[in-house]
Amino acid sequence: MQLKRFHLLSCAVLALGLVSPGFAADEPKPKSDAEIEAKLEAARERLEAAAREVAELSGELTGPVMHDFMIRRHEPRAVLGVNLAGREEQSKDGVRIESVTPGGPASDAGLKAGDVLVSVDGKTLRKPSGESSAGALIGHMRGVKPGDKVKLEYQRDGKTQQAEVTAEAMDMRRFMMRPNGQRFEMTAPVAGVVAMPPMPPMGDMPFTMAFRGFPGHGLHDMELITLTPKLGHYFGTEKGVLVVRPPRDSELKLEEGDVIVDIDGRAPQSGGHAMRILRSYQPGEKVNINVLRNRKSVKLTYTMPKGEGDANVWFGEPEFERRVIEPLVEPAPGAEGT
Amino acid sequence: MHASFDELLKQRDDRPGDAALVAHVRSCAECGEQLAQLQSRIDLLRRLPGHGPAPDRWSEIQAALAAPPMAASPAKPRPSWWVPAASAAAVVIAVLVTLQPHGSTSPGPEGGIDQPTAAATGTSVVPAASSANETGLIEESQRLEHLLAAFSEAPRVTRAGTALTVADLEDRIQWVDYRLNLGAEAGLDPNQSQRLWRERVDLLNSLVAVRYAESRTMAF
Repeated sequence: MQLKRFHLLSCAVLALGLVSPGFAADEPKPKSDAEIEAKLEAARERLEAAAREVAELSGELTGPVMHDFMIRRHEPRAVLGVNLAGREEQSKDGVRIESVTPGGPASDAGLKAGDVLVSVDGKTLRKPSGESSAGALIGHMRGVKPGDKVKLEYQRDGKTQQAEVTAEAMDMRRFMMRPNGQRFEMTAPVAGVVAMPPMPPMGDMPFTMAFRGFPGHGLHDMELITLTPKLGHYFGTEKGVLVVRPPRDSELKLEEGDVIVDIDGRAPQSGGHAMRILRSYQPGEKVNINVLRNRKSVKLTYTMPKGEGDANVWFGEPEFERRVIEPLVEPAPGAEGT
Repeated sequence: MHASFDELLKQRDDRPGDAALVAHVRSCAECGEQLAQLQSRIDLLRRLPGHGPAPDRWSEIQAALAAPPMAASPAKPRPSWWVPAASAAAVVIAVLVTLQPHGSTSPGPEGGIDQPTAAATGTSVVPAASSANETGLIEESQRLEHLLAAFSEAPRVTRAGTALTVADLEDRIQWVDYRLNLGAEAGLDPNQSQRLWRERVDLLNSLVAVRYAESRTMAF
């Protein structure tokens, strides 16, 4: 199992090597920019596919860690995006951050692993011996809701600094819950979801969390630029992202030079943000995109395609019981037992 | 009839197509203006600063790799050989996986590589990253976060597929962290905790690889 995990990672390393200049040096020199571009695009796709495969299989190897605990936990929880050092390591100096979630709220606020949190919303985390400073922070966070701003004071390199972090909730729509050994898949909130219908006894059935794939594969080669003030002035808008390469194989009819102003009212702040917005749609769902084309407003409608394995039902929707609960009670024909 | 937008794009990109249409665009003020606008637009985009990393960026990353571990418990041992060993192992195993027939690589004792196989390739056996203890995994996680900070600036040009992959990896790390946080309260046993940290390191490794490739290839 461990070796398999490492093989996968090694493949990712190899895939990275495929896009490095050193690797390309052993191949015949491409004849044109178009050929180079095609090779580069193929290498990117291999790398990204390898990264996704490593992530998927690594998660499967981790397996059903504490699934029972997770399934029983229903209430939403706001997070800062940090892991705290073990409680036994806490001192009267505060709480040391052991790791920071990339792209998470604490990361966005500039916090790093190794920083020592000394206060939260004005409450000290420097606890005397016998009291848990990590426990004090966790206790405080129980009263914080997603979207709340949390003021943190921390020490780095001997200097005290402040940060304001906007707490977030996990976006559980991204997750599916996969009973190991079963052929069917389902979605479930597991943690951080408001309502949870009654579930049948599941015994020792192990679950693995799975991620919903993005169905808009035809969009992958699209390239976007975040508008700067000068670019925005040129294109006649202060916000949005510029399409420098439209998707070649998609029903989304964007054109080179279009500016995506908003996606169903949500204004993308960057190319990455635009893609995060787009991937929040479910297969079959309609997407309304406002673009500026030659400084004129154009409305585009796009239906998120249905891909293989994407026929999931989100927890809490009317079909939940029919599509999810029933398979749990009576596994689909051909499903392997657990 | 005036040239369509697509036809003007073709002419701008030196793919003129129909000769009569080319002649029309040359003689038509409206089409000529449209073509000039398209050309100036692309000129403007080309003047954007490229997102290629600074010349010294890679040396910074290499320095970061060689740097001592970040803050960690002084009470626990810190195997300084772990990162270079894991890097070497990655290359070694990648070569093995590539060279050997499918399925012929078999795990040796404790999940390592078969000694004879390694010897035959002229390499020494090094512990795989996946067999590191939790302290080593946490330190590697911190190192990788430090590397990611080198790519903290959002790329000027975003490729959709790359953005989706980055978002996917970040969400997965968030999910691991969420479980680590809940587990800290519920009381994860050491094996469970180690499995989560191992997955975190795998995900961070993939994220660093994707972000690095992105920074290398996205110069406009």
